[in-house]
Order: sequence, then structure tokens, then C-alpha cells
Amino acid sequence: MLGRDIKTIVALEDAVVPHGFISDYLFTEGVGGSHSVTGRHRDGNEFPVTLFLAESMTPEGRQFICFLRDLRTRDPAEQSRHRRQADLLDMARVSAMDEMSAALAHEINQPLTALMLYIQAVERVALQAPGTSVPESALLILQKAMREAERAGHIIQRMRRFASGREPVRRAVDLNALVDDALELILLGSSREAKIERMFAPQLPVIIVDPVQIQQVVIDLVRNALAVARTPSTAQDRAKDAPQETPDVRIATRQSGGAVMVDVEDNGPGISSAVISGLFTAFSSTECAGQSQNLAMSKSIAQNHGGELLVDPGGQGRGARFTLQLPLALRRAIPDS
Amino acid sequence: MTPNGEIFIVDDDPAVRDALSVVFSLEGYHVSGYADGNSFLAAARARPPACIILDVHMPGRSGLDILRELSAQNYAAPIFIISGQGDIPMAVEAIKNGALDFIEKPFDANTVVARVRDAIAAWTRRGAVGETPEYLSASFAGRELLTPREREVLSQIAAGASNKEAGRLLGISPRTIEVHRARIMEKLGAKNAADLVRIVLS
Repeated sequence: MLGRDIKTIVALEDAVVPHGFISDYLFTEGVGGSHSVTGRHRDGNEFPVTLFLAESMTPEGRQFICFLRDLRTRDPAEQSRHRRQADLLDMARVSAMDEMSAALAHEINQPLTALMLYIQAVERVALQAPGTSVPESALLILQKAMREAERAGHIIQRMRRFASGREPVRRAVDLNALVDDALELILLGSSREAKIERMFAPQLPVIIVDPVQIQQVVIDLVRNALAVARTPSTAQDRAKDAPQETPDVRIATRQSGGAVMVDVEDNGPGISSAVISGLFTAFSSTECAGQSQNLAMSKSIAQNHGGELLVDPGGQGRGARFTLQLPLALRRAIPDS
Repeated sequence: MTPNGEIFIVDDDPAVRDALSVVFSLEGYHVSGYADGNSFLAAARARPPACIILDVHMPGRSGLDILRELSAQNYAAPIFIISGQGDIPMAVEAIKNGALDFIEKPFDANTVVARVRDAIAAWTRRGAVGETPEYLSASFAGRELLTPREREVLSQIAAGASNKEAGRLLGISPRTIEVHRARIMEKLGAKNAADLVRIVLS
């Protein structure tokens, strides 16, 4: 590395540097201060670096010394935590895209299905019409229309598979660990201090589910709950309320009969009867601000697993509570042959 | 009553319901449409049609729930589920709950008409539900563990039919025959085809 330009180590797309040419920036404005930049390792990994530039006059003229300090921790436990956070963030990004494209695909499939059937019905009517002969041109145009509809169908299929590159896959899952990971993801991504109370049943039986899908449902429910959480108006109020202050979100896992349940309860105003009828309808216009668009997808995921997503609307001092029900595995998971 | 029989279409989307109705009416079927599970169940219990097409992703009651409620395993008509989401494990679940087969949206009219026609034909050929199909001994180990449909598939396998042939005879796609085959082997504890034949002919 000796003798090479500073740009070799420091990534050019660093947000701290306004013009992108770090050498120019440093030598005109950056002397004497320390800057947080992003370094790039030979293998492509990026890591945080502090850069300190000093100037000195020497007999040979002005010289600059640049100190680079690698901010990565040496502590293996913290390193592994950072890696896990990076993995979780990746998974969150992927499953959010997956969810959106799945919702879109499902919605678009409805009119597309009807469209293809109608086009073919017209073809049949044209061919069955007694006595009259249908212009060849009309039939040709219908065929073209049909090909375009099929093309749209293929695009949707590709869109569904593209975002995550995965089909839903089911395996045995420890629900408490899955919920824990989901909460960690949410706390990673949120800027404010969220108070989440966990009440996990200690020995939940194993369930067979798609972990990415179920985790996305939990994430959506908790994010919704955080969005409607009551915030104390001042620090004084907070201190006053301290002993009775309710958590922003209460999340509980439990077993009930042949199912395990995840309850997510918020401390908001509850859900009005006007809103509740359209609550699980995708892209519904009656949704209140801040609520995720994806309650419909969450319900669908629950039902696809043989379970259900239920809501207790709350109100009159109680927040809303969503309950995700998932059936127990009837027998030991059989590995795919 | 038209010669081709009655079809129930259960889908919350009015356009899909109407488009399917248009297509099947042109083919000579009498079509009844239902927008939700409850109204469908009431009608299905009162008077079974020749075939049912059921969307598994309707809001409210889940399609799987409806299949269970109807005791689809023992219902008097073939039930196709249609899905706009491509969730294969869910479709397999539906077949375990008694659906004959599933068709992914968007589908074309020729496909869905052919599948329904084949299923109805196969249904009338099979005779009463619960009868022992030919090629199976009346009492082999584990017989009572299998659903009536699984016994039919097994009967075809035991007679040496390929997945494609079995599917054609029963009005089911070869992929779904595979699903049944795997379930049968799991239930009977058979490790391979030879094992299965041994169990079944004993």
C-alpha cells in the first residue's frame, strides 16, 4: 500500500466527502481535523475509518501526514454481533421487497386472469357464431392480445421469484428465537427508544413454517404497533408517568390447544369500527397513516400456513391486539427426499 | 339442466368470477358464482355441483379452512383450487385437505376447461366414494390411514401406471400425483416403490 494514493483505501462514494475527490477535499479544507470515512478492504468489505490530516513545514517544503485508524472492533463477540446485524438487515431488505412484489403479483393476477379468459371467450364466440364469418384480421388481433397477456403473466412470475430468489420453504422453527430476531431487526432500524415488553412461553412446541415469511409478519405487526404508540409529551410527563408507564408494545408467545400464538399489543387508541372492515384488504384507502400496507399479506401468509391472523380492536383505553395463530406440526418434520 | 352439469365458482374477485362464468357457459355448463366462503358452503351442502373451482386466497375465511369445513376428502364432487400467489406448500396442504388439484393464476381458458372436463369424467368413472378400487387387496396394512383419493392413486400405481397415465385417468396433474405418491409412502412407511407394492399386495 505504501506510495499509493489515499483513494486506494478510502472508498470514493463516501457520504462525508461533498465532491467525491477526497484528495482535493482533504488538502484544501480538511487539514487539522478528523473525518469519518469508509475504507474498503481488498476483498470488498467496507469498514469504518477515522482519518486525521496533519500538515507540517519541513526544509523540503509543505508535507502532509495522514493518519488512518481502523475503527473495527477487535472484540470477537462484538464482531460476530456486527456480522449478524448485517445479515439480519440484508434479510429484512430482501423480505420487504419479497413481500411487496408478492402483494403486487397477487393483485395484478386478478385482472390479468380475467383479461385472458375474456379474450379467449371472444375468440370462442367469434368461432361459434352461426352463419356469420368473422374477419381473419379480428381473430389475428385477438391472438396478439392473448400473447401480450401471457407475457404479462410471465413478467409477474419472474417478479415474484426475482426479489428474494426463493420459493417459500418450510422447516422446523423455534418461534421464540424467530420473534427475538425480528425484534432485534426492528430495534436496529428505529431511531427512537422503543419499549417492548416480551412475555415468551418458555417451552413452545416446534412449528413447521417458512421462517422468512413468518418473521416478516411479526416485523410488520410490531412496526404497526410502534407507529401508533402513545408518546409522552415532555420529559416531565415521562418522569411523572414512570411507575405506570405502559410499554409501547407487548409481545407474547403462548400455546393454545393445537396452535401456537403470537400476540402483538400496542398502547394506541385502538381501531375504530370504520377502519376495521377494510383492515385486511390490500391497498385499502381506509387505512390510517403509519400502518403498514401489508396486513393483507400477513393474513394471507398466516392462512397459507393453515393458521390465521386475528385482531382485537381494543378502544376505550386499550390498544389493539393482533394475534398470529400457527398450527402445531402434527408429526416430526420429514426431510424432503 | 344443461348436459354438461353445474359448476360452482368461488372467488372474491368479481371479474375473475364473471370471466370464468363466461367461459364455462360457452362450453355448455351452468355456472353459479359465490363471493365468499359462507355463502358457498351453504349451497355446496345443499346440492353438490359437478365441479367446484375455489380460490384459496379470499379475504375472511381461508380456503384451507373452507376445504376442511366441507370435508373435501369425502365430498361428492371434484374441487379445484385456484391461486394467485404461487405458494406451493400451501397448495400441497390444500391437496392434503381434499382438493383434487390446483391451478395457478393466470390460467388460460383451454387449460381450465380441459382440467374440469377430465375431472368430471374421471369422477363419474370412479363410482361411489369409499369403494375399494380395483388392483388393491381389500385389507393391506395401513389401508385405513389413506384417504379415498390416496387409495385411488395407489391403485393406479400398483397397476403400473406412470404419473402421467394415473393423472389422466383420475383428472389430476402429474405433479399432484407425485404429491399423493409421497404422502402414501410416508403414511405406509414404504421406503421405495418396491416396498410399496409389497405392502399393498400382501
